[in-house]
Amino acid sequence: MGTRGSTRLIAICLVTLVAMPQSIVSRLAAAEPMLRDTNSSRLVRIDMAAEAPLPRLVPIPSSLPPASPPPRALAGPAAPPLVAISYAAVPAQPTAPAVLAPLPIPAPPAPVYAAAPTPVTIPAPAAPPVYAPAPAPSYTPPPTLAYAPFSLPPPLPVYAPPPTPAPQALSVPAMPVSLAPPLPVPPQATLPPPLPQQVALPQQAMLPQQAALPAPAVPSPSVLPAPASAAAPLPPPAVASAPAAVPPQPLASPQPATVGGKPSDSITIATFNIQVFGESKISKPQVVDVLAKVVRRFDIVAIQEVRAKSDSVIPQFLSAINADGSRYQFVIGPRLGRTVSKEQYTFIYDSTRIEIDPSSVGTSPNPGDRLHRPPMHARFRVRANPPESGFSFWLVDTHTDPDEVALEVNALAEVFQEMKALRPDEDDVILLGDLNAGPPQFGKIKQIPGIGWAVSGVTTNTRRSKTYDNLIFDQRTTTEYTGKWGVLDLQNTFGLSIDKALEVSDHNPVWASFRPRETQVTAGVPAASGLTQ
Amino acid sequence: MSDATTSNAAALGKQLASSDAAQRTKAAELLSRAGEAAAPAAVPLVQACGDEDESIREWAVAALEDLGPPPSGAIGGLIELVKNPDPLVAYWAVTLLGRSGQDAATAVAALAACIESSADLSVRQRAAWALGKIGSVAASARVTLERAAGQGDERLARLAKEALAAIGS
Repeated sequence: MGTRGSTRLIAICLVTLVAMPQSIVSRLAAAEPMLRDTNSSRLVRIDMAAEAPLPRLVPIPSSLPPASPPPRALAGPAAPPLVAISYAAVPAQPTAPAVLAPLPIPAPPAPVYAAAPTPVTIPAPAAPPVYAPAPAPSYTPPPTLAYAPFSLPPPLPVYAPPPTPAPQALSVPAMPVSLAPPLPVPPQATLPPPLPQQVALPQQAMLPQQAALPAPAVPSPSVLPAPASAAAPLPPPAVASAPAAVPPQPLASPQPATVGGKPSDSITIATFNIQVFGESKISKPQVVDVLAKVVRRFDIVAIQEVRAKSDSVIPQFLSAINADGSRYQFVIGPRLGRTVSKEQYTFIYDSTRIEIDPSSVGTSPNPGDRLHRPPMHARFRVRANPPESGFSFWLVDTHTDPDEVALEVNALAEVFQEMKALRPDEDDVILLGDLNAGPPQFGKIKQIPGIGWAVSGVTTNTRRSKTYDNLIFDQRTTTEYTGKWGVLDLQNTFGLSIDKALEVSDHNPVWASFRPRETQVTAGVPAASGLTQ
Repeated sequence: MSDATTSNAAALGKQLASSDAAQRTKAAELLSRAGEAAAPAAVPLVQACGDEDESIREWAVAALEDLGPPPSGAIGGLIELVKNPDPLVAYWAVTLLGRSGQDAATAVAALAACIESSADLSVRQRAAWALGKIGSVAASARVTLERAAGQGDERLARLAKEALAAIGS
């Protein structure tokens, strides 16, 4: 080709370039670092956000559906955008590296995180903990940085909860990831001297007292109205009916030191059936105000009857609870029930005083499908210094079917014993909730060696006609029980009419208090006092 | 619900049929607070389990859980609702019939048919439970229960066996 020919070719090229559509030029200029794997013909994207020494390639499926239901960030109403804490890692190629050819594509809407066999956890300082949905039926959230170290032995591998309907992601609220340091705990209160051997309490041995509950943010925290009215009389004092089986407990503790308005020498665990706790109830400010005040009185509240298709009810409730600066968090279970009308259990706890073992949360076994709503369980520990000294325990939250109480109570007896055997390092199991049964109907629960219950002889529903709510535990091992318990009468406590109290719930909260330090239990140790057996 | 409104349970039951969803919601919520005093509204509450509004359904279920056995005058209406295509309506109709015990003897055929033909497992299970509650007067359902006792669902089989034991030989 001569000079004339070369000049003509250059001219043609210039004309062609000028005539090229602007869109093509723009796309070339905006080409993403997305490459084509010439071995597999798959598109791969270089994850530029990951600060790794080498580019990390994440396979992109042909379509991008989530491998599992998307994580539900059950944060507060103004939940920040989800931020994944696990970045994908691509397994090493067994052969020579793929030859990658650039492929221009439009800018992606967001980084893509694919499941990887060995996730790398990268701190996300401002992000709330996000639980990925666990494969049914076990609800095992991924590692999270939100909780203070809970250095416990790993759970036993033998426990496999049975399938449950409609598994849901476990959820945590949008809370700052940095929790308060462990609370200083005063020296252990004097414990009763050990008995040479366990002595069974007589049937219907009565509780020593129904105690006043310290109320945070109330000028006189240790004095609340008696939890029951004439319709709900206090149980008789433990005098002659409890012969020497239990060492005497002081009827009135000295005024305890308080931390954040709560006593430092005890924690309170409550159960509360909030009837039909859904969108309707959460939309009533005066009801939510009472409910929030109830929760703030306790360190942990096991709640029954969350009934909503929306996942926003408990996060909204948590925002109301924490509006005063409190730092409560929650975990919530799956929707349970045999019909389309389903319920959820949730634990709400004061994260400044209580920590949870995230790997412990789950739904209890339900052999024979005897339980309409199998209990939700989780393991908690009181924040203490050193952490191992804090009282740790299982909570098993339950709400029986009122039409099959006898059957379900017997099934709960089995659940209780299975939970007791679940971990050799945990001897404290507290079954609590709305049993739709009083102690006389406890069936096989009463046959569990050492079993006792906190509430007896008083009513627990708002109409003051039934004793349905309780806390049940093994008095031989849960010696942390202080012997104090109560029913928080909504009417008396908040000055409500019966109509207004029923608008809050048809159940009153029921509670018991425990020492914050773990009590080592060996054979022949004293029983927890104040329980009825 | 106060005593004054408790006495109006039947009126609130009628309000559950209102074309105004707000009125229905109010009625269902008030009845959910009435406990056993809501029994006069048993049939409308079961019907409300099929309401298009979720909150009305949930309040109705809450009321039904607490109202105990329905009045004897409600048995006929509940039998009709056993055949309702909405599983939640049928489930609660069956449940209330079971709570009625021997008073629901006239419901035995409907409950047996429910076990045979309902497409919803929870309704079939509840029907077996209800026949057990009705007891000896449900003897005509024995064949159906024996068949259910041999079926694959563990819970249905157990409830059918328990019903057969309650009916006796």
